[in-house]
Amino acid sequence: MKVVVCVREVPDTETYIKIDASQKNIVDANVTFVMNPYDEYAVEEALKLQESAGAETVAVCPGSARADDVLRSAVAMGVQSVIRVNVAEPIWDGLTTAKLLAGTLKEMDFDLLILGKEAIDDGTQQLGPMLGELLDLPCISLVTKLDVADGSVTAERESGEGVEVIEASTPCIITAQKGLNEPRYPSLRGKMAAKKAIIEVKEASVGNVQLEVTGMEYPPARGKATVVGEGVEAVPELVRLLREEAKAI
Amino acid sequence: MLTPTRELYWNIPGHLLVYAAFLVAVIVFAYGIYRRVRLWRLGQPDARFDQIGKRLLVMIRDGLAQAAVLREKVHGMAHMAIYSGMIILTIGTFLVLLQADFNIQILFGQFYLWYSLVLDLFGLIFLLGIVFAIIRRYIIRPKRLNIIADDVVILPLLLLITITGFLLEGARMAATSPEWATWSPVGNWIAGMINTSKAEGLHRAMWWVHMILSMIGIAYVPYSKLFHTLMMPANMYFKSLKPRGQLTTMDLENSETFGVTDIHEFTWKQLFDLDSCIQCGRCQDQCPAFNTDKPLSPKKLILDLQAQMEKRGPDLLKTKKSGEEVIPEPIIGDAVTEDEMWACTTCMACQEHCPASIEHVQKIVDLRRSQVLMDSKFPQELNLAFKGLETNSNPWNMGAASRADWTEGIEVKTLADNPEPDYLWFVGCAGAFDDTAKATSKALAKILNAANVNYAILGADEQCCGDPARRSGNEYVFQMLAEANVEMFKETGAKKIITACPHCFNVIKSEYPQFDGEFEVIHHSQLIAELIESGKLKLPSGKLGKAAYHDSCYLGRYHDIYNAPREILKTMTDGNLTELQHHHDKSFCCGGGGARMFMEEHIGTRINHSRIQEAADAKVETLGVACPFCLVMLKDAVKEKELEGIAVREIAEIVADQL
Repeated sequence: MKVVVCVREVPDTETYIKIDASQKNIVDANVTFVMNPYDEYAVEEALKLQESAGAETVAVCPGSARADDVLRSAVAMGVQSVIRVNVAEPIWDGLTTAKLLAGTLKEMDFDLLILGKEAIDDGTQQLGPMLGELLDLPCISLVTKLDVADGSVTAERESGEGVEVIEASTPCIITAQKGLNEPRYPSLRGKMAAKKAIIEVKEASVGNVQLEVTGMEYPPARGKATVVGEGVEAVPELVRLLREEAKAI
Repeated sequence: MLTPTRELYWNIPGHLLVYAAFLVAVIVFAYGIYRRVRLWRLGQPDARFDQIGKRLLVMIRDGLAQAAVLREKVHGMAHMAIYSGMIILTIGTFLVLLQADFNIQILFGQFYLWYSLVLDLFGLIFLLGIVFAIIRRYIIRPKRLNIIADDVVILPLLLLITITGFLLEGARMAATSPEWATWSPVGNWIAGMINTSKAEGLHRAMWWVHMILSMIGIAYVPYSKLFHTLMMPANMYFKSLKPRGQLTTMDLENSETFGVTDIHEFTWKQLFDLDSCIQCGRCQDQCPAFNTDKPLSPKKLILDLQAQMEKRGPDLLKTKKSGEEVIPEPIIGDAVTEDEMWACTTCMACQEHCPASIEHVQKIVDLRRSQVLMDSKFPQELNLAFKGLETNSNPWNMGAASRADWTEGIEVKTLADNPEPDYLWFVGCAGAFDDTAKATSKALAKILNAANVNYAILGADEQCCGDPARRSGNEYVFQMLAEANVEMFKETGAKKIITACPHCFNVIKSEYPQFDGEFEVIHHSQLIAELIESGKLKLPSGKLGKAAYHDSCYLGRYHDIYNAPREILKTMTDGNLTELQHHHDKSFCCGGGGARMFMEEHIGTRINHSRIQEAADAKVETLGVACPFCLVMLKDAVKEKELEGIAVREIAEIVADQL
């Protein structure tokens, strides 16, 4: 069995984001880039199959040389080999990214492709379903439980009403939702191996970008919170404020 | 009057048998030692053979002078009785040997009289010590002492040896009625009760019983707790001479395995430690984890590891001889549980009070290292802390760029404002990110400004000192942080570093030298006390009500800083300060050390609750602390236990309020 995971680098959730002068991109300097948190679930699921079923694991990441760190993180966790699809500039168009990766993935002859359900920077949730379309494979998105058998998978996804149980034949595509597993912390051996890991770099041409980011702006500043007081004595004032100022009750 | 002396081996035909018995005893004794040495040699190398003079001094102070044992007055005195009795009686026997076998005639005249008196009295002191020990262990039975098979043998054996010794002395005196009998008061008293006609027979019988029991005693030493008479001074000799509590550094690049998984991965000294334990239980008495019903007892840990060494010994010796590869048998999950290992707060109380100088904390960290670095197994809450340390250089995983946000709206000099400060102020993660501890940083800024101290902070360039990483076993992350900070300090040209966090203080002072970073480190309590003393800070007296100080483990036990924080509080309480039940070197941890700050406390009762109860019992109004972890833990405890009337306050805040 061969399991491929797609990973991406994203700014760390705690990083201060600054918009650059063009208002169409963020300032990269002083930003810590990390593996997209949902991709960590994807990597962990692949590693579980590597350990339980002897699956071969490969991680693929689109990006510039800076993204090598993310691939090294995948190796540190235990992924066997890593490929970077070289692109100089970040792509904000889901379809362009999907087409770019599809070229590489088509040749990889995998049984299972696992991705995070979305990247936390653009949050489009498009890549998995689009790859399904481009590669002509079934895609189950937002999976919280996965069982892999010979030739098929059974996945659970949470809908608003309850749990859906879906079966698909392999090869197929899975996108990972929080709750699928608990990503591991790399062992020191893994980290040392990651330092020496060989990263295969594939050149691919970025096709026709059909979607353009025309502007970025900061979210509105949060309002100020006021502590009214402590204990029972504060209740009348709180009620008054909720009624008269917030008009909530 | 005749010259006072006595005929050696009087009334004992066939006394030469004593040499045969002694030879047997020595052979059994030597074999016992050999068996233990073989086990210790399974351990890894550890350089403890340097600085002979200093090591001898430590041994004399802690061992010969019994400084460590005497920290507990009553038991210490009882031990002193047995200890001094044993030494004097051994010397007495040695003098007999000089006279009998080397023909050096010394036991006569005035010297003999004093010799008789001293031996007689110390025999009595020894006997009283043994009787006290028997009453304590078999009748009083304190919780920390358990009775093992060995205890049923040793004390009765020693008691019998002493009693037969006095009986044979009495019988000899009854038979010979020496003129100088009053110089042996105990023997004389016994002689008075012995029928003269039966004295010779009694003497001969008691002599043989006494001799054979003594030889058994000698042979038994390496197989029993009596071994401590040799092990403890030896272990003091080999005690670490590094800064107290300094953890070993690891070669991460060139090692195949990390930390201790199997028993032989400890160093020989760590295995030696295991055999030095006399099971007195002082460690357990002091342990905050044990006292709040966690599964950890430092005493049990050492004994379990000792049992593991004995269990694994034969196999390991075999593989060592044949050169086969060792199939590791992990300690964790077998001799020691994960819960035991993670319960430790590294507060150092066990080690501080161990009369055998056993080094517990390093062992626990070694086990953690293997769990974290080899198996990635640790309490889940540490995942966030480790990630935070790796990506944002702080265990709360707050954005690295926001490290200096606490300075907004107040006057704090950064290195950019003041590139050549006298003091580099290392704020620390708690002081920069934790809302409760930020107040300390703000207060300290106010104090430093008020006293015109020439200081600067690093701002966003500061990284965690690495304490939580190192003490939770994540040496990789620790070294990353330590190296980055040392390099940064060197770039700034800093010589003196101030910090308000005892954990930062300890790591920078005691552990950065391992990374070529030698700096003078000053805790803010020391600096503030100095500013008050020199008159640069003027504080109104009598402002605080009933106040007490809670010792931080990493200031007190790790660095002997007990007075500076107390002096500061005293200036505001007209010189009065209450002490909690546990204080100074016996202080009770807040529960936040050893990266426990970042773990949940699921088992037993909470350590911080236990500690704050002491403050409540002492009816303290202000509990001063000098550590951000203590501040957070104890404030939480006040809230959770709904204790009214206790204000837990950082000393800098208390001082800043008065400015």
